[in-house]
Amino acid sequence: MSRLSRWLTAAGSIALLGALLAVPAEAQDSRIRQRLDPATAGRVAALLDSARAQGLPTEPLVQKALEGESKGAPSSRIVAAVQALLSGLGQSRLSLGERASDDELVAGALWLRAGGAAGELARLRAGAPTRSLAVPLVVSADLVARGWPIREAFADVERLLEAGVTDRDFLSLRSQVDRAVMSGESVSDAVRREVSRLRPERQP
Amino acid sequence: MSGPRFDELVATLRAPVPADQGFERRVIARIERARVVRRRWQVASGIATALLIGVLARQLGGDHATRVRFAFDAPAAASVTLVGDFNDWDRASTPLARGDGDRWEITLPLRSGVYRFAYLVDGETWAADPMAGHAPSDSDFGEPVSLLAVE
Repeated sequence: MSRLSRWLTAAGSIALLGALLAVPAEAQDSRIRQRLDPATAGRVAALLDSARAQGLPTEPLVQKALEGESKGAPSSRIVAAVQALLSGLGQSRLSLGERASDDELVAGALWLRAGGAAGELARLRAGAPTRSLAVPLVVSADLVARGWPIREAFADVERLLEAGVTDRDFLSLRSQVDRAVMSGESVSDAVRREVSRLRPERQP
Repeated sequence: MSGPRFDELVATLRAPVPADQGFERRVIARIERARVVRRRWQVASGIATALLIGVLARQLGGDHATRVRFAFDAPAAASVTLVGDFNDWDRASTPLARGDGDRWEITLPLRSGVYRFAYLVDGETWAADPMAGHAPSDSDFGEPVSLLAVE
């Protein structure tokens, strides 16, 4: 291979790599521009830029804006919702750490939105530094939204994580609670029973 | 060509030439440099190829996908669509099909992650999935939102 063709190959590879890496940001902005009015799109794009500058995931913010558009929400409400989520993702990363996955950050923001504290997220991370907290946080945020007291939820999730309960167990817990609620039991009672089943030695 | 000139030429060619002592060393050094450059190119090409494969795999959805079945009971509905993070909250792109009885259904391949979604009944009424999680941020837009965590 001649020196010129080697350089051309290298330059082509780098250009292709750059193009592939650049696609998501372009695609996000084009979706925003296509679906939102220019003023709203501009304000949302500025929030996306801010998220990128902070190294936060931008796709959840795009989806939040598109959700607002799909539901016919006014511009101010869309921007406020995206801003609130951006703030939640930032707090979530401060608590869960720089190495938290995008899903964990989204789940952490849901936990905070459900009324949980940033310090609780940090404690959960300290207790489970290597496993993903996405599923436990999503399941608990859901159950809290349906009536599980937040402080009780935090204490139970912390104990379940200490006991090595898996993501599948957390999802199963939620399914069992759904069944119990459909047969007339309260969310709190159903969760307490399921937590005891997963961790029989649970302390009061 | 005259005789004396020929003799002079032969004498010149036969005269001892001073040897270039560094010639062999320079040739070997150049071959070595070429080997090092080639090795660096091979390493750089390998890294670039691995990066390209990784990016392409991500772009083309090489991540593991799970088939998730969505079902919603709406006996009086003329249409039900699934709207959420997985289809850019497009109100029309993912219609459910009416199955047996009153149930509307669809199965989608979804990668692991956290998704928010809702059903849109007859193009105007938003409804949460009674069998899925509840998002704590429904108040953003005043409509119910369901939560789904895919392993």
